[in-house]
Amino acid sequence: MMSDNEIRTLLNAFYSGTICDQDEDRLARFFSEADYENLPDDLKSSYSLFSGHRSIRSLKCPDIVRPIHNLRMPFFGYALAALTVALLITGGIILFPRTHYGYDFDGKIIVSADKALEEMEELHMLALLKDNEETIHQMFDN
Amino acid sequence: MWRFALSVLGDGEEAKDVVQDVLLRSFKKVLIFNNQEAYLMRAVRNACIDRIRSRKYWAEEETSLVIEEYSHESRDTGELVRFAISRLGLKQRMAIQLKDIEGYSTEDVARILGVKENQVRTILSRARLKMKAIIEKELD
Repeated sequence: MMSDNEIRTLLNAFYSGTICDQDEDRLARFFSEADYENLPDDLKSSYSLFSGHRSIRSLKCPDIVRPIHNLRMPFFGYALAALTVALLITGGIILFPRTHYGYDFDGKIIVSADKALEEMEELHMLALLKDNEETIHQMFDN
Repeated sequence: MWRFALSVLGDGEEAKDVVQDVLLRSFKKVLIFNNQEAYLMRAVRNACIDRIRSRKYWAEEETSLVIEEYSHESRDTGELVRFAISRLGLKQRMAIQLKDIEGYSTEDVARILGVKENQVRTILSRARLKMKAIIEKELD
């Protein structure tokens, strides 16, 4: 157990920067075991200093390493969104007429519903006419 | 590394960025060095200084951070010492963090800071006396 004067001698060396590592460890050990209230007033600030050092040393390092994609996400996120929109627009332009309006009977793309109905009516009429060709001939001949 | 960067920069998030950058840049190179810890700490120190320079107010001896206010009610010695450290100049802050808190030898501190051992002792002496005065003022 060190006396107060021994402690003061070591502290002088500590504050002048001339203390060796071994004596510095002894000082740290002394203050970690000392009772603050029983210390002389001139040693209390040093007690706080060493105690504070211990407290800071116990700070745990937070989760440092973040996944790389978290750091890069803003750029790739925006690029991906832009690509998706572009694909949707392009796909819509190509596919929308086909799915909505369908093909005509010759395999050509019909680009409007009216045209599609026209084509269907024409073909229906043709089918009707064909079925009733004989009757129609009879009508005209008569 | 994080604690050291935090003491220099005063900002936890910035300290995290610095440490991550150093680790990413150094993970291949560090293996060729004998004293890898000192190499990494030196890299953190350089990265912190680059950050501070980029903030456009750089005075090596004068840059202190008033990052904390000490609350007398809490009587937390860790908070008190962090407050005192924040009032130090940049080199003093780094020296105290490396020597008194992280426990590096004087030789390693000199290597990390890029100065001679005698200079480290002088820096430490001034820093410790300044911190003692600040602590005494707060305790009164």
